[in-house]
Amino acid sequence: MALLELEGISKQFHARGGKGIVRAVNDVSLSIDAGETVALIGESGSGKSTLGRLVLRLLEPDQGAVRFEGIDLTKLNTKEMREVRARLQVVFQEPFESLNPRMSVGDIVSEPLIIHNRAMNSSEREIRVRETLERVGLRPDSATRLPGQLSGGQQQRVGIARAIITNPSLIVLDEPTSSLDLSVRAQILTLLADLQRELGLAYLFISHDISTVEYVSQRIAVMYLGEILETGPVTDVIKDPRHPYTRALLSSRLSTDPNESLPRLRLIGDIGSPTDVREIGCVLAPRCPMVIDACRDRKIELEPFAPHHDVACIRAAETSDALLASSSSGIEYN
Amino acid sequence: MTQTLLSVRDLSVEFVGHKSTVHAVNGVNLRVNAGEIVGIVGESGCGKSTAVKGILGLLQPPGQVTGGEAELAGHGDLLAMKNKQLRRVRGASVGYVAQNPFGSLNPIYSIEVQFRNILRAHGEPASQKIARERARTMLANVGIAGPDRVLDGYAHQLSGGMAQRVVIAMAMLLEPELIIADEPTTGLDVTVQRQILDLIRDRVVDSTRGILLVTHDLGVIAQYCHRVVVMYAGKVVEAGSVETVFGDPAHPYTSALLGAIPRPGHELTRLRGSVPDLRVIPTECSFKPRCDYEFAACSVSPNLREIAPDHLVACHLSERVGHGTS
Repeated sequence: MALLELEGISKQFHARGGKGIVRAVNDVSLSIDAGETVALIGESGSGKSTLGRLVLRLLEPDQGAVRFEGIDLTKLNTKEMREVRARLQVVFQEPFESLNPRMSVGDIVSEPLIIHNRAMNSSEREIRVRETLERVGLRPDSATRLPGQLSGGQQQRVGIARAIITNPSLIVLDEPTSSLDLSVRAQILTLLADLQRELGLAYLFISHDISTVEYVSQRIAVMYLGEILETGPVTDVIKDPRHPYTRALLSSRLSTDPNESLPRLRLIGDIGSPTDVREIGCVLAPRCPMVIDACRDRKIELEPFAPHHDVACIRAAETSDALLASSSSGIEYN
Repeated sequence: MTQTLLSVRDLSVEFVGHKSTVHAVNGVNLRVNAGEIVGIVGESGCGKSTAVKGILGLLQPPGQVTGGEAELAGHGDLLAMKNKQLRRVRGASVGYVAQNPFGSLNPIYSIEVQFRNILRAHGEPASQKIARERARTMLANVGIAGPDRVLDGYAHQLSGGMAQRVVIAMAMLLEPELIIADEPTTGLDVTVQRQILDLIRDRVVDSTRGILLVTHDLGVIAQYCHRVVVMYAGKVVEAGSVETVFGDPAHPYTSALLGAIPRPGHELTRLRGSVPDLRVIPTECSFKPRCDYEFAACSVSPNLREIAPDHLVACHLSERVGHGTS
């Protein structure tokens, strides 16, 4: 049984000014096994952070089920949900924004224990906090400091310490390294990998950065305008992307080897607005360089392309070369 | 013979506070030739943005240029210019594209009015009709299909990618020989980022024009720049052609940065420690506390020296034969 199972979840918001509806997440299904890292990748507005919040039940889905350790979270009351939260944690993108600037690092990291392990006395708690700070590579004496006295990388370590102190089985990592410099990012990614191995954690890793995702995850789900367009083992999807959006996203990667230029597939214009997503047809159709009439006629469902590799594109079986050739019409803007 | 458009020598910038002074840029040298895209790369706080703001005279107090020259071909030293003269050169001979396009656009004037104001500020008397025509040509040039709709609209109606195209069109309006772009694609999504970078490479640079591009993204440098300047703690630590610097880095910091990019099956390079305090001018190499290769000579700050044609490095290691960093 999967550790986390999302079944057909949707979330809509009313657009600002009351005009129109934003389909932030539209009929998404996804599962994560214990100890596994699944990456959710997409550009801004793709709904990946909303999906993360739905998993944590920081938002209520309009439809669908979120099953964690076999329990449908959407059916739980506040008290029952609080018990689950010890096993289901989160680390946010902006470490400083997500730490209370008036609380010491020790207080921040011990707060989840006060909530979830009421039987624990204060000296036991203090020992656990020290151990956890050391575990994430912070000196135990940093417990007395305030978040503002720490660097960005150290702040993110505090965020991670707070997440792991209650022994979770799943952590939602919402762009945990996006605001960090390259050398600090490398430190945090290494720490996350070490923690996963030692503690058997599963991660839902939300990111827009392909090289990070390729490095950390076993499976990947590509999101665009609220829908998963392609999902599968990370090596399969990156070596043999089948959805034009995945191809475009991969080809937007900039290799640091000046002599290596990756094949290009250009989308037309900017990411569409989730307020005017069409009811039927493919969400990528307005930007897709290989769109055909059939793409606009019916809802395009995720369908198996290869074992464990699902694609929501009616031209998924066509070769990369053919698709690239049909889109090589120079620079395209909107 | 290649023409040098911009030649910066010994640029220093300080931020003077009540109790201490931050030495943000310390003796930076760089040059941009016609037909080139030159990248400045480094992590936050290394002084890359401060350096270009210093060159353009755009530093806000307490930041001030405390030394050096920035020779712009045909115009003389930018750092020695009076404000009035600098205002004429900026825009006409050096264009500037900032990271956040919405910070560069005025929210209460239509885009057309802002184009017209640029022409007016530079004393180019043009009728409204001619001004609009020039603006329309520029917008079409940066790949905007409906220039009239954009000209009649306002900044808030543009997406991030469109707004950055408008700002690039504005920077190109007076056909400056040099454009300085400070993280022009950092806030944009990856698929849009490449469109903007392609645009800069294909439409902005030609045989008489050059670009100085500030970025923290090594991929942008590798794929779009001809030469690169690597900065650390306010100094240039390595400079040269992108092929040389990325293919055979001579400074341990450059190697560490390249090794910190996630690649499946490769262990990530972990740089220990953090950037030094820029309030004290170090006598030793600024990278010494974090360097795996430090030895006795590193207690004296190294100078930038040429180790091969067009390959400069500030590291004592390069003086020792047979000691590579990779």
